[in-house]
Amino acid sequence: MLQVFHNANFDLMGRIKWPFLAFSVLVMGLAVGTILTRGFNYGIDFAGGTAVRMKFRDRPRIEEMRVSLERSGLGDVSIQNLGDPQDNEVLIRVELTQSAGAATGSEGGEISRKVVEALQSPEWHQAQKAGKIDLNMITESDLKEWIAGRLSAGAGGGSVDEAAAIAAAVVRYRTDHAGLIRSSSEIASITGIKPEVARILQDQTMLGPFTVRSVDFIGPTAGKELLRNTLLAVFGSVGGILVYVWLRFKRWMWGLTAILALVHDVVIAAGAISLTRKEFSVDIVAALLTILGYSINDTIVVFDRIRENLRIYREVDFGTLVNASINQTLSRTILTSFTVFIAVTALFLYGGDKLNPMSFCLMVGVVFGTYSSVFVAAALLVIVYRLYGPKYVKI
Amino acid sequence: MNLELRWRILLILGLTALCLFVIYPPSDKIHLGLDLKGGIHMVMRVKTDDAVKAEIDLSQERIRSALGEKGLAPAKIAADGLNAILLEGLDAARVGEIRDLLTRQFGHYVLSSPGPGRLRLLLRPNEESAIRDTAVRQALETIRTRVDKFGVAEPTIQRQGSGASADRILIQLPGVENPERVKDLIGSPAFLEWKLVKVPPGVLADQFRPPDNPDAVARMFGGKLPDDVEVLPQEMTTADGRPVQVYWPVTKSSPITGNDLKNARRTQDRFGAPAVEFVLTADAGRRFQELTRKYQGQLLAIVLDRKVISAPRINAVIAEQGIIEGSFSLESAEDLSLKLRSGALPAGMEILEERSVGPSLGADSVRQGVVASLIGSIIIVLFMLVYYRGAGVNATVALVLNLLILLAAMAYFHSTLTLPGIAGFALTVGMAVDANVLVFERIREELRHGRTVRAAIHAGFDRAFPTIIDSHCTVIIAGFFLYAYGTGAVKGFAVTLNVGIVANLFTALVVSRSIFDAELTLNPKKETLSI
Repeated sequence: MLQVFHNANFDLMGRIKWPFLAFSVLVMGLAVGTILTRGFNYGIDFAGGTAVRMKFRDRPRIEEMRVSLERSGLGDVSIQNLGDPQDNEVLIRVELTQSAGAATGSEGGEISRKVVEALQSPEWHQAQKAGKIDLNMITESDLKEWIAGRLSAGAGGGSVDEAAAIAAAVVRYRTDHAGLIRSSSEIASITGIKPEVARILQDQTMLGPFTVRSVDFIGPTAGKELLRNTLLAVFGSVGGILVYVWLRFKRWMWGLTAILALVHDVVIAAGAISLTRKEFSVDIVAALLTILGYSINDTIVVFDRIRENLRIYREVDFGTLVNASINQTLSRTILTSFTVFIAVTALFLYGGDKLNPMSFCLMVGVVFGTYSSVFVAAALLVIVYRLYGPKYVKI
Repeated sequence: MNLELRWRILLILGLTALCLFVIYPPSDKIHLGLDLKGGIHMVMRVKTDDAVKAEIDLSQERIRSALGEKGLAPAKIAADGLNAILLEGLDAARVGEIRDLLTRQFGHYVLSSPGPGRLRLLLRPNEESAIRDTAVRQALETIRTRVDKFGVAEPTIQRQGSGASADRILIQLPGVENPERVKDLIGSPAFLEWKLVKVPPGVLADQFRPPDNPDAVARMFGGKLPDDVEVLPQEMTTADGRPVQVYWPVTKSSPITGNDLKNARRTQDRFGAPAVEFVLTADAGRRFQELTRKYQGQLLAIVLDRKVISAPRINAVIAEQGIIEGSFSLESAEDLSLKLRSGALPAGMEILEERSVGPSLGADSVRQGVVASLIGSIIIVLFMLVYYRGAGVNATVALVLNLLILLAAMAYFHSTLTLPGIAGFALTVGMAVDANVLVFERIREELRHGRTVRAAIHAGFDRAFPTIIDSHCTVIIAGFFLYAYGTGAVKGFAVTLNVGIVANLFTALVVSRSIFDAELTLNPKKETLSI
């Protein structure tokens, strides 16, 4: 039989608990310090503004882009790489302008149009004026109309259905290839495109150097409201869990130490986000709340076992009893944290850049949540009992 | 096999079949969020203040005429703040009479007298909130009509928020790529008015050229505009393609508005350029006929959302049918007629949030999310099989059923699967084995204490039970608040997490246990357990 610990019997609640507690205090202090001094890199969910996600055919030259964008008068612009470098993806963030705000009602779209115009080359603009369409930028409905026009102009006088089928085929190909058609030779290879149509497309369209994958605009009021809802959710959860723990264990000391462990985990996870400058978005809030719910889980398992043991061993030193309970549940604690850790690590490694900050936050939370159920919650419980509780506990 | 166990196994098989039935075919039954399939997501706010203001404006007019009829017109009547009207310079001797009349005819206002010869009418709060509510509902209907006519598959158009923020409208249009056109289509009020152009004294209508700045208009009238005239802009392009704004003096009142329209459609003008053809209601048709007869030869401005579209000369008497010419493209003519058909929005709209996701990004997200979840799940399953051997199979069956129930619940409740929702799936897998581990570890412990297989299994489940309930409850508490206060995609995460946890209670306590029980029933003298 495979086992993590064979009859685990570590003395974790003896003197050794002090260095661990000191470590916790230190890490928490660092986390709070980081949050206070560096703050969070708030995503547009909270800060408002426009984020345009683009994918380039070749490695984007960030500095040149910055110059072009600043020249176009978009105000504060930040450009960051997304995902792996070979993905050639960037996120361009434009702050909310003071005057306009959401009042104009068209910031997102207008800004993304300005960004696109600023980043396209003069040759591109010229070709566009000359009537060429960019196959990497055009929407399916526009492409359909354009093709319908070309087909009826040429010989044969194709039908609207045919144009729709061609447009759909081109867009499907583009979608399957991360939104970009890289060379005009690819056009001929698209299934469902006849050679003569491919020739029209090759001659009369161009393939721009990038495509816009998503545009997000958040007005100034939405961010404020989100912050309020976030705080409500966090305090609601903490309050709810506090009430639950109190109802379940009926002793303030238990509830208090459990909640302290919880605060410890969430603060450290938030600190890790602040330290790594990962974007603080709604997803991070979701991750933090999940940590709230999950990390108390481990603590409760340990506490449940302590309570159960209290009923069995009536006259035992409390510290010894807690230590035994921890050892009895240690395999379980390590195992379940391990499986959750596997799940979030897989998300972190393979889930793509959108899930990356969230899964990172969860990873930190799971590790510290496991650690804190033993070295914060149980250790504090022992200390609090020594100070305020009876040495021998009677149930 | 005992009866009770037989029922349990039947229940599990039945549930599995039901889940499969609900899920099949997954491509139809599992609704992907916009972040996964691409499309446009918008949250708009209805500026309900506009509707309150319109009510105040209308009441001012009605008070003026009601009091005027009796010769009681006040010297000044004006809006006081957003929701009140102030009358000043009233005949002090007849204030009682005025009060009676106002109380009778304008019961939805509270009367007060802030000073001699002055009266203040405050819109009743319940009346005001009713006006705001109606404005949001009308906007919702109008947007729905416009989107329906635009032809989007499976749009979501919902009222959102509560209390003071109940003025939100959520719009989700899957598969739509061009946010600009959609936004213009659903966000513009489309308030159409016909107003007579008031040419300055001494100028013939045919010779009037609107100047390119509003002050010049006032100068034409000798420095001050007449009381019933206002200036509205028109966007034009010069011969060399430069955009320019010109300003028209028009009457403040609008004899005909978009509310008088019966129908509108795209058509062509006599030069073949796109235009919009309209049909008025019978009653408005009569008024239009009268108007065009009376003012033949003058200019009639067609005003959309406070901007002049065109100001043609009235050449003939027009009744119910007419045509709006302007510099339309095919698309804009189509969109305008669509907007006119669906009616005007009762108040302005403000965009709070707008997200558009291209289909390629959505497809990438699905692929990455699913791959990551699968990798995680496979490692976890392998680990459980290696670590717990026979019991690992048990846990794996429970896990698979757990995911099946989760998917079925999402399909049944029409929940949307978002990218964070996929993360919720992965997390559910990680947490789902938690309950199994609790039980298995407990069974191992009991076996170590020398219990028989049967006793160890029973004790393991019984003793782990309260702990399992506890740990699930706390996750659900956090999940509940996440759902209650979360927005958009995060709500999707909360849904999968919560449903997954509840399903897990069932699979860990009932399914996994039944498998053990079945093993025991088949082999009652079982002496070793693969765990």
